[in-house]
Amino acid sequence: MKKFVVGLVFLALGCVQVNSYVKPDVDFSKIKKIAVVKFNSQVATDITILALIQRGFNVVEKEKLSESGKQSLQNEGIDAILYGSTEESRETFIREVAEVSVSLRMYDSINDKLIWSANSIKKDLSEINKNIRMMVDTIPKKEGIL
Amino acid sequence: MKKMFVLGLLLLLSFGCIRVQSYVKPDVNFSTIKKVAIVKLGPQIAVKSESSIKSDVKSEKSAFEGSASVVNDFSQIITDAISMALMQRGFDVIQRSHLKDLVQNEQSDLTEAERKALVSSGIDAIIYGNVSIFPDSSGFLGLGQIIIFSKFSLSLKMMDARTGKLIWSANMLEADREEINKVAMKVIDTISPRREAGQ
Repeated sequence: MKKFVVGLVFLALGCVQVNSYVKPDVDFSKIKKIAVVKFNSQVATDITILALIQRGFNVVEKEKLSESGKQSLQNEGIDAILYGSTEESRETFIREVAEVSVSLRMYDSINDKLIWSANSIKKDLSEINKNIRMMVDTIPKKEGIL
Repeated sequence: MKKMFVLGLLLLLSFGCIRVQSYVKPDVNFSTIKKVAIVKLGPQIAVKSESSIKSDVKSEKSAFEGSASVVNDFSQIITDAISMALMQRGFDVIQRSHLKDLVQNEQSDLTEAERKALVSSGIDAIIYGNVSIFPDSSGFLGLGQIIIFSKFSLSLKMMDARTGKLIWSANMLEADREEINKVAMKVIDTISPRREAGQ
């Protein structure tokens, strides 16, 4: 029985894939259109955009943002800006193991404040799709969708 | 069963082994610091000794150059984790691009004009610092961007934008890279008691 409990604890630890935090005083129902600034990985950028669309957000992809770009974002009705980063690590001594860390952060386009952040640290590269989707799923849903 | 107990104990000990040293300036009221900007942490590669670098590396220099982007990416992931920890502890974290508009060179000391610009845009404090990675004893592989490391260290400082004074400093000498979130929270928690006490 004790072994079973220990096993369960290990299983639970292994199941924690993503870490996220939502700023509590933010009304996410107002976040409808998100600008995604291209990450250092195009694959991760595309997966994130797809997950956001499936989550019900309107998404536009941006190469990068400048101060004038920020003004145009507001003109385009963009409510939030999402940045992301990935870091890949490989171990090749015994067998090839590819792992990736992904970090996403969303800022309010009006006041520049960080309103949501999530990461997944050193997870199997083959699970990047699932992990990004899990991260995006922690963004509170806007009302009346899905 | 005995083995399981020892394994469990080792696991618990390893989780609790992140050591953070910090200093908080005693005469600063941290409850007035709300809006902070974090500068991307300067990435560094720490080499303990030349013998720790594997001999099959084509040249030490090329290995370092090839690994630069990897260390940069890792630095970005940690910077984001610290931003998340700051948000969790009630700070308003301001977008870095906003800082870039006000500061010419993020890695060098602020000029008086830059400091005033930050204050007038409502930023109370700036956090900056360094992250160092420790290549494993097996060292680098001279294969472009492939680098093997499992440990890192972190040092952070907070400057009061209103006075230009250093008001907080913390460092963590060694942790596993999987523990990024735990390290970030532990480091930021060295400020929290002062804020919660309204000091």
